[in-house]
Amino acid sequence: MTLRALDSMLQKYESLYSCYDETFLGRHEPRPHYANLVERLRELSAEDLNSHQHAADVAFLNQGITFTVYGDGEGTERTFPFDLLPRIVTGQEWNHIESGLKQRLHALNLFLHDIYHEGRVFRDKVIPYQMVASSKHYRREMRDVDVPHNIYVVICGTDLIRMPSGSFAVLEDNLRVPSGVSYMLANRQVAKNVFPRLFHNYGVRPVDRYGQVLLSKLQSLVPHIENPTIVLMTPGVYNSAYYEHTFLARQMGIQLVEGRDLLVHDGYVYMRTTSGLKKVDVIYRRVDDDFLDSLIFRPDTQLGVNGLFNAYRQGNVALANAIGTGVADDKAIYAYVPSLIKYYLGEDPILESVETYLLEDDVQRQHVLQNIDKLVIKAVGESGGYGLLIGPASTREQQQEFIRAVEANPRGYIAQPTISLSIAPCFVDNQIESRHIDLRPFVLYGSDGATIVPGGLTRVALRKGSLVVNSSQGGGSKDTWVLYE
Amino acid sequence: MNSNQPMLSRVADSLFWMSRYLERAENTSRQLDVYLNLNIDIASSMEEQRRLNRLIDSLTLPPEDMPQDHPLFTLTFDISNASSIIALITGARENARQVREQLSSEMWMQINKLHLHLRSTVVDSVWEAFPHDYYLQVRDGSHLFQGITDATMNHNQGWHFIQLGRFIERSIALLNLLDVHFDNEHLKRGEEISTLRYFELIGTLKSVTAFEAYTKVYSANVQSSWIIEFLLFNREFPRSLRFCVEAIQSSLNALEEMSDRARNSRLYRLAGRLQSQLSYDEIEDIHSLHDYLDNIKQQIYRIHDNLYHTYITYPIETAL
Repeated sequence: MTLRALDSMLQKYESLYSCYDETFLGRHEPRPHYANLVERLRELSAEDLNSHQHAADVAFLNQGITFTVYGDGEGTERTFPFDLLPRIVTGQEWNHIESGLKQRLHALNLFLHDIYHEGRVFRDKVIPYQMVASSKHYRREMRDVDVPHNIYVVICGTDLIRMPSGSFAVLEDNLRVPSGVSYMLANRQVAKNVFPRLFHNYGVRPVDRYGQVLLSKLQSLVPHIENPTIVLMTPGVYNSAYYEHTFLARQMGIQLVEGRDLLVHDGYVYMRTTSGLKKVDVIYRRVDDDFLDSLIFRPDTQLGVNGLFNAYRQGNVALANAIGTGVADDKAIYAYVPSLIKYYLGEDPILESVETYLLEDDVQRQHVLQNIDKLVIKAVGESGGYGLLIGPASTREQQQEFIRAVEANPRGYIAQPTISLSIAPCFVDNQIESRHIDLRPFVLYGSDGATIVPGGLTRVALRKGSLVVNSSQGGGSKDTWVLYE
Repeated sequence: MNSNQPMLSRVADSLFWMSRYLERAENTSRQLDVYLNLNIDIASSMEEQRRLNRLIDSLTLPPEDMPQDHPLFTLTFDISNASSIIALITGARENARQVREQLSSEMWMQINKLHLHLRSTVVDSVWEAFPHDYYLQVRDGSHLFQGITDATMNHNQGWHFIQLGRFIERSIALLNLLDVHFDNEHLKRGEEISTLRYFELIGTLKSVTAFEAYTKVYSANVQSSWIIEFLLFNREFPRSLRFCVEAIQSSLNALEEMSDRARNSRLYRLAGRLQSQLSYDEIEDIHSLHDYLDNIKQQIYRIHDNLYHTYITYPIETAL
């Protein structure tokens, strides 16, 4: 193959000046750590890439690596679109990300313990009590409940974006039931098949140990129990992330249970097995707080286990993540995280945050409402790309709708400047085009500290020009290669 | 590590039904295929109608699944009919999906691929061409799944629940088939076999893929009483009743050991009694074929109920 084949594939590739280009420095001139990949692409034709793409799609479909799209009948299974071209992160960039994320999660765990216990952070006026207590995910029931080793968040998926300057910034934390890690692992398998030699020579750090590390973190919650029974609790087969639940249960060799498999007797949790009832010690739950125990939280659900909260409060079962962690990923509280890091650790935040307007403040709200066509408005308690207005891409009606919503409930929304996520090349319709991407690494936290498997889920906004990367909103993903060097 | 890992009751339930649905799909496809084949050999609309009635009776469809206009087409492709092959395969796959972390990846891939393939088949063109290939794919797919299951899954409790689902379904389908195709007349030796009858009998054997196995024991000489004897009491043929019951008994014994808990022994008594009955009964002992078959069917239902009561739907107070 020749230079020209690649050039013709790249015809539609647009480098946008307003955002950081992950791959290219100038027109078709790759950054040093992408040089080998681009070199390899020169050897491939569009047909080659197409047949790889087809093989990858079939592999995902046959393995049933799918998610469920809500809102059309009983839920349709779709594969999560996979883009062939890997996203590459240098060792130096990764070290920065890793230390930043560890610092952040450490502070957030201290913050959660504090707000559910003595509340020093309120007395010292770092954050108003009202701000925390009014959060949709604050759980009053957790006041003075002691959780094992004071670890609230065992699994965290933090969304990072790359600013136009090239530095990484935290866009949001997911501290409740973050998902996507199975795609990180599945993408790696496929990418290895597509670029075996390239992968081998690139010096990519492995991600395969994720299941093992997670299991050890879960075990570390109950060091006093020999051979603890650990289970993964799923809402069931109609949950959008059901594939991931089965995948992780199998990776860890633990039982995948539903609420109906569990029962509470005398303050202990049991699962119903063919050998009778068996006591459960740790639950990695992928069920939201609201659905865990209908005696305490939402009464109209059967996904959970009646009495679970009681067993939890007595310390007879450990939950990962703890109940009530969502308060720390509230998008308004996000604005305080840099000061929380400073307050709890006495350190400056390693990772940048995105400037955030709190709409309860009259001055900030006025500014935001006047400039709504330039800003992003987000509902504070939502995730998955729902409850989101991207000002520059919105219609007048949508803006009016959000203005009304903000005025009715200013605590329910925040605003941020519209940031153009960095772009990377993607194989789309026989061409290599640029698309916006982000990065979600997964941080695991146990009594022995934090561990991050070197990698993450690189999400791609597959619709041209779109800034929304969520799977439910037309997003796809790429394998993420974190290099040793 | 403890080799007797506990298994969730719900998982046992799903594996059992995954296996039953798949077995039923295989059985249905074989019977429909035989029916279409016989119609090619002997074209007589009166015979065809009778044969169709027998087919429907032998499948023992619940009233709501009784096909109206195009019975064969409906029983093959109509996803809204719970007894159609496509609905049964979907049911098997849906059960597999609920417990997929318990299956080997190879098993899941196979049943998922079979399901995707059958769902994506262009119905009309298959139907016009001749659906034999379609039925063959169902059977091959099911056989492959069973082979993969035996070769890749731990032969643990889950595997035994899969065995139980398969053999309970298979024995009930066989009892229904015999009940529809034979009556007391056929218990006698020395039957005169007309050409039409010959084709029908071969068809019955082929409905349970028994023709070749039968000829190895009885030669190509086809007699109703020998067929009944073969399908009820032969010990080696994997679709005979006796074979099925022995498989059921051996899986129940294995489960008792693996679930290491002292259990009510009724389940094992029921299976043991039926197994020994089938090892000692002879065709001469049968006076009313229908009653005999029905009695055995009731025994199998009781085994099924006790299986559920012991492992899956037990009351909590008995298990603390």
